[in-house]
Amino acid sequence: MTRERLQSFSLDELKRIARQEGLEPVEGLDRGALLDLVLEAFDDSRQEREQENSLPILGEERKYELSQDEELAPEPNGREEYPIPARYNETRVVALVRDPHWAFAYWDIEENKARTVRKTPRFESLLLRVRTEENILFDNANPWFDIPIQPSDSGWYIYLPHPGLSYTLELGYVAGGKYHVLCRSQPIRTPREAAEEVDAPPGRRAGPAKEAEVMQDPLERSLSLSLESASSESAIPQRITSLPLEATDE
Amino acid sequence: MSKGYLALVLHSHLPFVRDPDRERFLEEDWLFEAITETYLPLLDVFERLMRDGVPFRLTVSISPTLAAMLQDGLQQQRYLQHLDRLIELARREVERVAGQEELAGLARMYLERFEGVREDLTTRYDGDLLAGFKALQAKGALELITTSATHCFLPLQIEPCVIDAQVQLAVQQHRRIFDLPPRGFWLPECGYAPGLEEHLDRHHLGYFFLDAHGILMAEPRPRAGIFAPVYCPNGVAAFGRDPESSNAVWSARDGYPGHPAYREFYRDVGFDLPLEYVQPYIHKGGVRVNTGIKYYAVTGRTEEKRLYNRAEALRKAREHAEHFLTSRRAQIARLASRMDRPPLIVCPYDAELFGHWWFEGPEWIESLIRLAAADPAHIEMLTPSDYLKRHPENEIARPAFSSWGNKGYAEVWLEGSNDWVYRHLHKAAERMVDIARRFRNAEGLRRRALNQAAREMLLSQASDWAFIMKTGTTVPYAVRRTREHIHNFNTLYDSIMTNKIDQKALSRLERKYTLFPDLDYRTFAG
Repeated sequence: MTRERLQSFSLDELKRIARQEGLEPVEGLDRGALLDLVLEAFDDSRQEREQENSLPILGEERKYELSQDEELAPEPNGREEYPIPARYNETRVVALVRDPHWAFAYWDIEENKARTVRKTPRFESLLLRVRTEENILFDNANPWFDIPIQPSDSGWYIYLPHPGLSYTLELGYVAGGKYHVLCRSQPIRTPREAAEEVDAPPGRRAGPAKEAEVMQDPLERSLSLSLESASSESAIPQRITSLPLEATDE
Repeated sequence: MSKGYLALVLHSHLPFVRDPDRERFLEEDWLFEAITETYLPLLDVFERLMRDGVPFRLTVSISPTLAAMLQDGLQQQRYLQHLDRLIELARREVERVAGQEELAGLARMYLERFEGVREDLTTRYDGDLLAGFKALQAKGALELITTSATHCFLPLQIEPCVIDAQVQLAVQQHRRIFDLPPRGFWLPECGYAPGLEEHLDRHHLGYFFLDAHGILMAEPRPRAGIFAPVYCPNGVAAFGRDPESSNAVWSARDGYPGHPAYREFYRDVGFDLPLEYVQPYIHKGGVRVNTGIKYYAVTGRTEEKRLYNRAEALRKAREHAEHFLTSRRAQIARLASRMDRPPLIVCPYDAELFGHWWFEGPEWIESLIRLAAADPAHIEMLTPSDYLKRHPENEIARPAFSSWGNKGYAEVWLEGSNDWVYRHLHKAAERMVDIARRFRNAEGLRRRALNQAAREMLLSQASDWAFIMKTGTTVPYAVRRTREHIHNFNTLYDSIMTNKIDQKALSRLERKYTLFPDLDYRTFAG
């Protein structure tokens, strides 16, 4: 963002831009102060955005850089020109692997079906059941855990406690203390976590001593180098709760 | 001293930005800038090396969308118009700064460069710079490979037929343009999910690249780490990126490109000179854009930049190439005693980094190649195919889900700003497979509509859109393009299902999104 570009806006427009950037209060500020404030905010948000980026991503980003003023480019985003449906009125849940600990799920319930579900006697809640076929029990002592969802929800990030595991999501509901499945996602498998390997003593997984040697120095170093970029901390707040009631599978 | 291999891989890609209905638009400049600043300068370097009899082997991936644009008549014509405006600006600059010795030299440098670019493109390559890459392949210098048809981030797609078509269409187009089938495949963003190798194998692709942890976390864990490839259980080879050498080149702060002697990217006359003067050369409505004429050096962390000194910058590029090679030699020496064969260091980069962002990048590559060629006993530059020919026996392992994005997985392309796209992309993919199977022998208008629906669906899958939404440059454009292709697909889908195809609207789309002219929708029937 350049000062000159901001200069071309009226005071009211500048205030609007400032508010858009979350800068409050803007009343009472003179033009110069407002300009400084907005410039600084653009700079901060850019730095913040770039902070987490890996080097290839930072490099790639330069490729798309055309103008220092593009934050304000008055380009239409096609909302009116190219309408697309919010949903496709189908009963479906899809899971996507994001990293060793997080998956993204989106879902939809066909309108008629949703109405029927809501009218089920003693309907309690819609839920996502996260299930693994592997020999793992979650905190609730079951090979699944549940996440209650609201009818207005359509997608969530889901925290998966165990990396390197296969999961299937079920979209279902509870009525009268009983669990009913509406649909299932395709199975997904999360990657093993790179960070857990760092803590492990070299050569832990393999028997022969030769391999333990190979794991020393340069290879080890390049391993930890690449792991720096592969740790899977996440800024997304965890949204997962276990349903208190005992769920029975149909 | 021990011997090792260096595989330099340049991945060139831009999304399909072609719009016959709009006279001049911002995003078209992605292509124009890359032609002037990256593709032609790289070709120039390669030609110079050939002329001097310097042998080299380099892997270059050219995405199908980029290749299509470089061969498109309309875009070739528009590029020349763009270049002519640039030459005019450079001429005016030569006049404007006449008398100011250093500046005048720089202005002349740009004028000569741009005129040289015009000359090369129109006479040497007859308008089609892919001919240059093809000739270098024929002479044995380049190994040309491809990537997914519209640069789709494959781990987030769930429809196998569509993933397969992303590979198949890319291979078909590559073969048509470059006469030879590609031997390897660039996974966009190094995005790998277990099983993708099956699609590569089906289309006779022998290798791909992935980020280091994709190999290091493979099962069983490969003994040579990333310094030798592994075979997936189906025999396709996976080569791991070396982070140490990559960082030296990628990092603007700690790597070579940030050196004070190099050209500063952000001081462009498009921003530095009065609006009325640069008006004809920037974007309509007075939106200032980079023109490519930049007079200042990085200098340091200061706003007071000193003038760029070309000779000094080129000396530095040579020094940095030397430094890079010395570091690789040391790296190889550390590794060699622990391996049963010469270690391989794989260095993949986005091609557009060189020349566009790092102005001296092409000359750095040139120096690197010359220096390596002068001392083949220590470092031999080769391609993955060369390596596999020399060392056909490799460990077998299952690589791990990975990418070269933030934290190493899928989060750049799957986060709050862009996760909304997948509901639509997946639905379009599913519907495409459905209509391809339903209308197996469509003819006439319906066939055209099915083919165009496939193009729109493929274009919606470009990783660029999600990437831009996340990284925050030209976001409205990325949102609009995603919406546009999904909208176009849905409209075509409905019209195909109800057999009410609007011929005029279809023709308009066919003229606008001309990608994959030979596409046959039946590819999607599986």
